[in-house]
Amino acid sequence: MTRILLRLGRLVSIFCLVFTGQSVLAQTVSNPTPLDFQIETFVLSNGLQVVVMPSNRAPIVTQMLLYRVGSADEESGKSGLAHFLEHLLFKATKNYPVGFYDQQIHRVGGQMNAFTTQDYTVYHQTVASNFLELIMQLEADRMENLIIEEPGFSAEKQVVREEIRQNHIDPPSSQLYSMMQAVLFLHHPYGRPVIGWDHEVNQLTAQDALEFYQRWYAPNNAILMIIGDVKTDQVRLLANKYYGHIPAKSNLEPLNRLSDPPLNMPRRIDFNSDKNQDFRWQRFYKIEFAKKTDSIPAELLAEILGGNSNSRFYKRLVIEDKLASSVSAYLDTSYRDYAVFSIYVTALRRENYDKIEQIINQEIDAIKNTPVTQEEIQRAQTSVDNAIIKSRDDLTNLGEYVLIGLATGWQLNDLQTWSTKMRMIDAKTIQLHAQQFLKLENAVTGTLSPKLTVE
Amino acid sequence: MNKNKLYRCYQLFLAWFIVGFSCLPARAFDIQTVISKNGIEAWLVEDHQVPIFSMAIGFKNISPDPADKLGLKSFSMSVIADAAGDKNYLAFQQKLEELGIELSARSGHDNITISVRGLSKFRSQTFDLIRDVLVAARFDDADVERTREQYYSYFRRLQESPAAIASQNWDKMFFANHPYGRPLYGTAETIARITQADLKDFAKKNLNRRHMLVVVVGDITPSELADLLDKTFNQLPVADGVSLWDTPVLNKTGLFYQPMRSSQTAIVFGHAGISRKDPDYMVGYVLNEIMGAGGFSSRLMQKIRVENGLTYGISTTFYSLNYAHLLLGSLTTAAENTDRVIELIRTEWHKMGEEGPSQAELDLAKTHLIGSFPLRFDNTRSTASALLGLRLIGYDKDYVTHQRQQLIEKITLNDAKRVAKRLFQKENLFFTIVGPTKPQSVK
Repeated sequence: MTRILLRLGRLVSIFCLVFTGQSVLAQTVSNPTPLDFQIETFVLSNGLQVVVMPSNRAPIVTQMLLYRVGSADEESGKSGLAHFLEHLLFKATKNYPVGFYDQQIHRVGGQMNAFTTQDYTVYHQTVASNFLELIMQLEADRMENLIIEEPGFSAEKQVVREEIRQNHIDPPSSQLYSMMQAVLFLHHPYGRPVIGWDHEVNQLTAQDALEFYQRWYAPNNAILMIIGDVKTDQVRLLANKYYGHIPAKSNLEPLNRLSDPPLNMPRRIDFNSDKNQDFRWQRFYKIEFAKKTDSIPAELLAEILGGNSNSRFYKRLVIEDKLASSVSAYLDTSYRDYAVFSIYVTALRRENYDKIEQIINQEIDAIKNTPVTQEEIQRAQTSVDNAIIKSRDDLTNLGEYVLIGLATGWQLNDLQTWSTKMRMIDAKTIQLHAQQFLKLENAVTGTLSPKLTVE
Repeated sequence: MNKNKLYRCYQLFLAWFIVGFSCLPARAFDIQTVISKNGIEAWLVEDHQVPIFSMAIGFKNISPDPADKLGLKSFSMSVIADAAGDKNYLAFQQKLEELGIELSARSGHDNITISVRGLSKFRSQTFDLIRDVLVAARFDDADVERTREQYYSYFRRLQESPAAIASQNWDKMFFANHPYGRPLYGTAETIARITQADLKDFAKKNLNRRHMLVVVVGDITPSELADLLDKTFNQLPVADGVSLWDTPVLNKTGLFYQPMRSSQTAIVFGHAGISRKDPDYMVGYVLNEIMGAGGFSSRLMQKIRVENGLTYGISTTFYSLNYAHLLLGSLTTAAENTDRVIELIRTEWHKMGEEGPSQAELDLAKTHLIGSFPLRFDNTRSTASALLGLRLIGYDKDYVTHQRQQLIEKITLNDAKRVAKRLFQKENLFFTIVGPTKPQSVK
């Protein structure tokens, strides 16, 4: 539940940002009110978009570099390549040997990591603000100078395969998740796991990785975000110094991803696994919004149905009927091409699945048939308002949210007006959204249970 | 590789490095001590840039759970923030939501920690609700039963994870019959036995002002805080606690294997560490960084992940409880690699014990540990909880602002070699292994 509030909070908190326009020359915002954050953005001549969120609360700075490429951009048969390449970026470049990057950041007390999704790949570091130049220099270097060679490549492939075993093959809940995604997205590349299928990862070559890198890693396919104890002028200077000379790539073809045909029938997976002990019921709805801002009423809908302990699902399943020990619902808008509305239930026992499903369906029908109450909308909006203020305590999270928004098709001013739009949503709109998007024929339902043993 | 460029980078880097740390602590930590009229004391770090504050409350010297009611302390803290005063679960949770309060409570073996984040505009109401939780938590039947079911679900999920089972086995066997070896969250059998009265009684006895420590960070002034401290904590009892803990004997060695149907094998390994009261503690802490806590830079990560591709991640931790100190590591690996990994760990352990670290490794670990410290204090919540953690161990303000850094700075290569010999004892390692096939190293 916290996760959902947090998500909502992070999204709406954009309202507080003072946005100065996506121009080559950013203007500095003067006299921000105590509730405002500064956000400034400019574009280098090679097409690199730079976003700066200055704050001097702590002498710390975070750099995030996002490439607009993820697993959905892999060729069929080469699943896992985007994520594998992410691992390889921590190896050598033409200028620095293996281990140099980690050591430099480690030496100054910094933290660094990276992550890959279907749509984007992000590299990030947090250091004392004195070391901003160091991390910008290192990140820029590996935008153009990566070397992929043995024996590092083969060892790293084994590392990735261990990661697959640890996080995707052994946990039964991960297996169910992968299968539900595969069934939800029959044709669109979101149907394959970001980390890849093990048998395909095993076949990937250094050449595959290098070609992928050369094709997609370019300043005009990236967004650079700097958050924390910095000045925009300083960032502009350093961005030009380290990233400015890297040539743009002209051959960045528009992504041509397959789209799903209408499916027109509910799907389900019941998985009994001898590795599994708990009782899980879950459902994913695939949603295609005409425009990004159409997701706002659906966010409120998720909050009212399963966002917290006063939500409709929680009251029915956990408090009143005592069929489940937890339930949550949320809308994942961090994809570029679709959104996914998901419901997760932990059932007390296997025998409860049918009743749980019945009640979930009843509650969804109820929200389609009768508008939600004014009080429910008010409550959801208040909790979002509170989350707006709290999100300002974690600037890095907020920055990451803006970054991901920008990478998945949001315009900065849409993010900025999110909360104003959210406050104007009425019961009728939420009802229409429920009718339009929560259709069983667009959903997959799954259960995960222990294997029944016959003694 | 272009040597020239590399050299340039180093030069540049060194220049920053020298200006680097001199100005950090003063900006990062300005800790005040606030004492209320009634003598209730708290650390305060003021930050008025954002209309938010966080508070972390700790209670020390928690007794072990009764053997037939393992999980009691944890269970009690799982329910305590559900409902309080005249409000039942739904009413209380709705109030928290309305006021934007994040509230959580948990108990470890030694300490209880309660953490709160709230909005300045509801500051007084937030403290009122905290007071209600501390002195008037309800522990309603429905809340107890719902939470009990959540524990059962947790136990079922635990059984799905080889790493969790290996870790539980390690504690259980290494600590033998000592309470540290018993599962903190209990078992399905012991959780089933715990009554509403047990949970209430636990909270009443252990939320004791004599053992309380408070840290507040954010948008609040010392005088505002002083008033709120009295209002919030005055009603808590003040009583002398009796410690019921024995000091455990830490000499279990060898390997223990448990079969499980999984593709990977989970391995947990370790032996006794060094007490925080021991003058060598900080040296051990730095050595742990070099061996396994330093991410990619650590020896185990280099050897087992980077060079040999045998795991997604391996790490060690230098772990202290009130009555025990451990050097503990863990990883998962493909089942067929288990023996090789165990051998590699033993070899690295032996090498470190014999030779100690190199000067370069020591320097890297020292600057990392000094430089990374301020990163813990980047928002009100993490700052309050990090400072409370240090207070619970018994560190004072001077430790946070100066002493820690000095203790690390003064470590020499000779210190490191001497302590490495003392700390890394290959033959004292105890391994627990959970996976599909029995490794050959297990007799």
